[in-house]
Amino acid sequence: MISVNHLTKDYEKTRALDDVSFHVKEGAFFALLGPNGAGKSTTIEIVSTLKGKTSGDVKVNGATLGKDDDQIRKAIGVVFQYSTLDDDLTAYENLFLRGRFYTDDKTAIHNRIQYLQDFLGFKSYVGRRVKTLSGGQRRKIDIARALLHEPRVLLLDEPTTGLDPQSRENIWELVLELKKKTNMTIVLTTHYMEEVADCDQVIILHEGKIRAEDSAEKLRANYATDKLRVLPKDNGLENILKKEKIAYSTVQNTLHIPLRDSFEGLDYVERFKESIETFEIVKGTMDDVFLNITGRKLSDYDDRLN
Amino acid sequence: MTALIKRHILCFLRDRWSVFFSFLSVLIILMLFAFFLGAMHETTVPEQLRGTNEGNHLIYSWLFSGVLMVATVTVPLGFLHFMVKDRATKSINDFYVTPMPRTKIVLSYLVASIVISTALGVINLLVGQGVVYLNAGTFLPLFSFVQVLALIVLSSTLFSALFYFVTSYLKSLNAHGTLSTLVGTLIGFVTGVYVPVSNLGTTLNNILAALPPLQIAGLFRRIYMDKALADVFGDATEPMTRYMENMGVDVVVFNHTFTTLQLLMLSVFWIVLFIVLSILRLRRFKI
Repeated sequence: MISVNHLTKDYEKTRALDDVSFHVKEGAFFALLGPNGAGKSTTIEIVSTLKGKTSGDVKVNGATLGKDDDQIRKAIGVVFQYSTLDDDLTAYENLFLRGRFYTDDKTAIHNRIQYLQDFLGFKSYVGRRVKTLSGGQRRKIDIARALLHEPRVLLLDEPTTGLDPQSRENIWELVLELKKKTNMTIVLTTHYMEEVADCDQVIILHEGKIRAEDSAEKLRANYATDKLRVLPKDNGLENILKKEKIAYSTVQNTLHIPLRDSFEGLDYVERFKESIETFEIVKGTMDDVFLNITGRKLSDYDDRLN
Repeated sequence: MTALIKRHILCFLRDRWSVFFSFLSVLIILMLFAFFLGAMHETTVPEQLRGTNEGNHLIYSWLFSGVLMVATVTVPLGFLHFMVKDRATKSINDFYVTPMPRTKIVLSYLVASIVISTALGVINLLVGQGVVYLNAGTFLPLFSFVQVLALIVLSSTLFSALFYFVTSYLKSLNAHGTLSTLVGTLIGFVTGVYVPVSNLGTTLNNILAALPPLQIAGLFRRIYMDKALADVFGDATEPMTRYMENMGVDVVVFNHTFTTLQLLMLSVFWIVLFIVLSILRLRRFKI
């Protein structure tokens, strides 16, 4: 559905994308993961025909970027990081006027809005002016606006950024629902690790380059480590681990023992149960994946940016 | 493109502060007239006609022809705030990812500016006519009314094109705010509404007469005041000429008084110039 080959984008002094290539299958749930400045939004802006490329080829739904841009625009729906709704218009007016960009059939637009308000759940506030809506409600209308013309590809550029935790969860559930009930290809950019866990295919972008590409599950298997977290009864366990040369780290009063897999953890528990107060086996996270691939935690970038 | 034009107009009309500030200069002129300038204008009317319907007709026609003209300058500028805002907030990107051609997206702001300025100009004309009737007991003759309507369209087009070109250089709402303040402050002077143009000195008068605001103001006054001038001055050619030159009805550059046809041709020239400049500007930016 989307084919990006050797895409490079240079700004005056910086290279935002450096020889990026990837392919997104039809119906896939695809994520571009990386910190701010990694090149995620630039990729989306190029694929959605907003920005030109320095070199490389991009194809969307069989249409070539730079030649068949109108065909690409018909095939895509874009939800930007920032809301693009008009505050002084109602949600319905925002949707209806936007629907007229694609067709003159007013009844069809009205029916589509009715379908979307039931599907996405914004019927109760469709008649309200956008400036009176919460962040989460606005985001739903943003998504509805991108879906008005029934696109084949939905591009979501950090759709949950800036939302409160509750709204973030609601919008994320909505995205998963969309994925489940439609055969749309969904391309997502995010810097939230937990969001990519549901994706079929994940690319980790760092400083404009692709650092890893696989399914979330395989990335986790290859780059993240499960660990056994133990609260020891006394110093005895640490002495045993040292003696047996088992790697571990101390976090506050717990010991973290990296595992090859979860079963190895059970084996350790069985062997050292006399010295263990409590324990848990913690699955490797996408955060570990990012750390192992780039040498930094994704949250470090957030701290730096905040 | 109709949907986009409708969107721009709806956004403008729903934003009450934008509408208010577009008319701020007009309100200031009316207030100045009510409190200060009105008495001064009494002296421009021949003594024997002061306080009569004819005298009032001359004063109020002069006032509302100026008000009409000023509104066709400030409304397009106020409206184009939305174009600057859409670019500054990147909302325009949401239009660019649709199949609507970029030329249409960009031109929709110009068309909407002309439409909204014309529509508000017509309301302005009707309100002005109401006030003129209350004070002078007369309306514009039908033919002059139609001519003024055409002038509103012409002036709205000219200043929409002019500010469309100028605002294409603005990247922030602050810059637009500064420009609006500047234009709002100066417009009363450059059209000779605050102070009769003859009081500004020959050099400044010559410069202003070569620019669109005073030329268009002259056109409005000539048509709007045609009957009032005839009623007040009759055959007295010399006092009428003096009044017309002093009050900016006649537009004079280096002792040459522009005819109505010349002013119309100049207006068309300005419109074509700013549209061509806008197209060149937009091409350069590959919009």
